[in-house]
Amino acid sequence: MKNNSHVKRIFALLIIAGIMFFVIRQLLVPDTFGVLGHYRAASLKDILNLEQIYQSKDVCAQCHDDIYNIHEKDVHYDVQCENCHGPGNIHVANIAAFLKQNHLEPTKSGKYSNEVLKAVPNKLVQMPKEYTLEGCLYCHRKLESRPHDFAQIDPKEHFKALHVTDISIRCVECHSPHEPLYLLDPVSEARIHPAILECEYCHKTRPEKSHKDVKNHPVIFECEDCHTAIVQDFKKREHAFMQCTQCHLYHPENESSGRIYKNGNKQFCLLCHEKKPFKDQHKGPHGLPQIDVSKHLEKMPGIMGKDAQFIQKSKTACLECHYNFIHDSSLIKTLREQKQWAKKVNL
Amino acid sequence: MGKKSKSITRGEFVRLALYSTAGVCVGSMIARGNLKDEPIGDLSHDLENFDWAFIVDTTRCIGCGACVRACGIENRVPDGYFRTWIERYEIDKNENIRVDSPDGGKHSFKQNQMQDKQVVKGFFVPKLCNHCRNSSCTQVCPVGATYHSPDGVVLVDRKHCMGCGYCVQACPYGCRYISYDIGTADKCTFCYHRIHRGLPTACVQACPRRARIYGNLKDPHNPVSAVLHARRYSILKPEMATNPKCYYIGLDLEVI
Repeated sequence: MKNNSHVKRIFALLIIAGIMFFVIRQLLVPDTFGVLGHYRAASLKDILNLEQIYQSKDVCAQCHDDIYNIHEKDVHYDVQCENCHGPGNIHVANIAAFLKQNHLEPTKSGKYSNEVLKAVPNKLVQMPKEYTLEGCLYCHRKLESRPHDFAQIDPKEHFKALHVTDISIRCVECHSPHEPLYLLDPVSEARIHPAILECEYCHKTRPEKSHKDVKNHPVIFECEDCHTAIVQDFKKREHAFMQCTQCHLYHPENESSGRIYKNGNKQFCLLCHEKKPFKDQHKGPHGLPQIDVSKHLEKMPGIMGKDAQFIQKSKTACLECHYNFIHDSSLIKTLREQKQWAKKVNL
Repeated sequence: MGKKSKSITRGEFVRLALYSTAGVCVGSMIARGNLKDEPIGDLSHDLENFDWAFIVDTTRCIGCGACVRACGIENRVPDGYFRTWIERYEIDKNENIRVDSPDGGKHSFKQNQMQDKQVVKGFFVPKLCNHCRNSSCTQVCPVGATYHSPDGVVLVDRKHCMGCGYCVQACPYGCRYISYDIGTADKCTFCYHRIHRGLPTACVQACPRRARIYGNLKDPHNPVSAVLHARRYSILKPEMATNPKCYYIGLDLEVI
């Protein structure tokens, strides 16, 4: 070959290009790429180190244990605080920052005293709240697609039944969100009744479906079947239009297991009977009796012979006097003594 | 022909080529300086004890939207995009089907869709990334920015993703989106940062009806296996052969 300089140059360029390729590749491909697979392994760490924003009710319980204890016992126990109150991390961070800034120390038990916490300005504490009417209806609006065993209401019908005229009110005016009073559907009621605890009591083999999946299960028994005397007495009285289960509820977690848990406390009666500005004031004594609780209870000590504070705090204050509006109390006692219901179900 | 193009000599061409190569080298160094991977240590060994799976019980869902809101808060999901969302199905006597998901079910559902017709069957189906074992989204990624983690979760590497959107098109379940605030693909991570701290995912925690269950399939006492052994379940779009790890209880044939 006489003149092969062009070949040399091409090869030189190719070699340089090859070296450059490896150098650039080495520079561009991240260190951990390909360690665990065709990806950058360090990105796993990036994702693992992300901040946790959504807290749980246990975190809220560290300060608000009073509300937590009530909440845990009632049907909303599975509803996290933040579902209604909004994200809690800012709330906690704001308060923590304020306490640190002002050098406020917790007590020996590691908690801050109420006085210290009250010093925190409201602006820092406030969280977005969803417990407007709409907030509750997220879960409790009556929809065809909702499982039928879940408590749902049509607000229009609900307001009509209670003679509510101002429909802009919030559910929390009557219902405490931390301690709602809950009504079960007929099938679930029957299942948790002490006489019928298991599906197998009636079904020979275990049914495929849970009692909660059964929409139109036939009614297993009426309360009247066993509690005949008391139901017949009840039907003669003012509340005859109501169902037994609107007040009575068997609570499996309750310590009085095996008994019907009574919703006959003051708050429960007041759900319907408390005088509220948004209710129709003209539905006087004949439609839906409404009372102003504080004024009503003020008169009571003299009549009942007990001190005022006791009556204000008493949970069963309404029934102390108004038992006969519901059913004859003496009937319950005789029933219990005879254990009539136990004989009927062969227990 | 059109305008005569300006010609360059061979020498100029080679020079230009060298300059651009040098430019790429410098650029790479800068890029390299910005992206320093921290050492991963024994991470892969730790992750091999896990294989995450998920169950959605459609018979329990009440469509309240708590999961959508919680997910949005936890993962800073931009408005109008969803890592999880709730679909409502309503079927009438004549087998007419209506499906809707207003704002992903974030603010629940205001009224029945079929006002005039009688609904014979209605239910809610919450959806989220299925974390498929044979996922199509990870196969199409041109840069390896989305992948299966050693514990079976499909993740996106935000620092590596260039936002081309191939994976968004490839996902048969519509679970991915290009997040406009970070400019990369994004999706459900099973709240990867939470489950490895022993916390449930945000949506599982928020669900007031326990319609969502998550668990580690490699743990013999995990709730997912227990439910799958007791209940009848199904998966979404089995014909796509993606082999999802998100199982649905009480799934209707109409659900796609």
